[in-house]
Amino acid sequence: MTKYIIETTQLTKKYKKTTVVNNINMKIEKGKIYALLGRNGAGKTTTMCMLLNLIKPTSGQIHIFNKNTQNHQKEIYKKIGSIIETPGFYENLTAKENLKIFTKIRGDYNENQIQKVLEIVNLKEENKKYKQYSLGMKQRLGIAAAIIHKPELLILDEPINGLDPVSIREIRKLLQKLVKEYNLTILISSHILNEIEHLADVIGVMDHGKLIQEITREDLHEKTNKKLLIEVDNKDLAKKILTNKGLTENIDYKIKDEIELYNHFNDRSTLNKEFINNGINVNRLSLEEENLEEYFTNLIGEI
Amino acid sequence: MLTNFIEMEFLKLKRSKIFLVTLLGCLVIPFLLSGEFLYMQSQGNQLLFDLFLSESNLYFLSMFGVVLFAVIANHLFTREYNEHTLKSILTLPVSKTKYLTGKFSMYLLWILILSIFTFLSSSLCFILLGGDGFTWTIFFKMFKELIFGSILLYLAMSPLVFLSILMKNSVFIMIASAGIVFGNMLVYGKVFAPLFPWISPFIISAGKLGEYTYGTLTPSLIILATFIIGVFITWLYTYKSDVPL
Repeated sequence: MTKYIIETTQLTKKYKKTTVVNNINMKIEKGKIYALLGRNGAGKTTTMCMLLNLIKPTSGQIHIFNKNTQNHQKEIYKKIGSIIETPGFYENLTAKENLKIFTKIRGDYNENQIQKVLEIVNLKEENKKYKQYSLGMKQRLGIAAAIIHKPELLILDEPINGLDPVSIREIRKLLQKLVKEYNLTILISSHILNEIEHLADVIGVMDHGKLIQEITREDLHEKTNKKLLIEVDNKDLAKKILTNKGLTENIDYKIKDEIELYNHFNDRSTLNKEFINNGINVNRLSLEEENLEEYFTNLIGEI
Repeated sequence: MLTNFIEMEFLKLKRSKIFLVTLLGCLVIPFLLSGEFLYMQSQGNQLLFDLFLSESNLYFLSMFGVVLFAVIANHLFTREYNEHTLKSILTLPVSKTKYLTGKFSMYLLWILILSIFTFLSSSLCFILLGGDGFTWTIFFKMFKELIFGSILLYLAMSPLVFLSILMKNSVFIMIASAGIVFGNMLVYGKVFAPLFPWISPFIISAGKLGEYTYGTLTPSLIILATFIIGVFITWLYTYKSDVPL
């Protein structure tokens, strides 16, 4: 038995001649937050819709909880909570009434549970109708509906879209709490790279319908370009010291306005000491890392 | 499960004006018939109870009801598309068959409520106008005819349900229902009227088939076939098409 909660094999969706999702092989481990990243039209939403059986794949297989989604729909989907694009609710009803409809139809209506999830997502305005809600409130109600039945897997398409920074932080904390306390697995898509960087354990990068890279947060930090910036008052002497240590100019370091060192980061305190012992004043010594946005811009262009 | 669906359909109508509007719409028939009653009275003629209700049933089943049932079908079946709730309901998960069964059940229930309301308001208007000829026998006979006719008309409306979810636009469904009403007016009284599935519910329920050359079977089978075709293409469309976001 595999440890993957979601596993797709050659998943493809075509509309006439356009291939929207192209042979995706995605694996998501239990208890992980997996983020799908990509430009608009990259195929993220279509992929999520296929996972949720809202769109039929043209070809390929989907296994969720180790079961084929075509043959075990009822068992699989009752353990999933989801938001796809803007959450859909009845506009003339309140949050409580909307949640009552969904839980009654599913057959697990519980007034206390509704109250509890509304408190979790901080929605207390009981008498307000859905159509009077702000975008942030709508998204939070969407999350409440997604978690009310204590799912094992959350599939969230742009859940923080349109939220203000405070709400984004709240949602991030909530999702992290859910993973930690309930061992949930989350598949999330977002355009907000900074959030993804904070939230995701694994990032899948989609471009033109293809999953072009799957990378763990740790590997991402390894892969992003790092450099040590050293600002000194005597570059010539500093260059001699670096050469004496066996470092080659333009390969291991470059002399610009500052010295840019591309490796030997762990020797930075020894190096600092040597510079000072040789009478060089070190005004600045900092480890710079290419951020996620720069990394993905280099990978697929502007997101 | 089905009762949950219907209960939730009623909850969805909370604070919504559509249910009240359809009820008020039903008052059009007794209101206009009252006008006719008073006009005839002023001319020294009498509109008796059986004729009053017979006309009420005719206008409801052949004209006003067709438009009203089409509006209800459009509201009930396209609401999930227009408010983007279908994706939330189907991922609960709920099977599309159960979802459609719930919708068609609620549709029938709504139609029956409107039929009863129309009948009672027509009867009440007649009593308040002080008309002659009221008997409980006629009352129950006419009530039975209207309910039976409404059920038959409900069966014949299923292709409009399909058009509703296909077009997801109330303008289209209004034009289609107006076309049916025009068709009813055109064929009513003609020899082939019982073959037109939207006027035959009135002809069958009012016991007027004897005026035509067809027996009960052919018109009944046409209504049934209309229902089956309408339900089947609705089901097929729902199953085959991707769920809109």
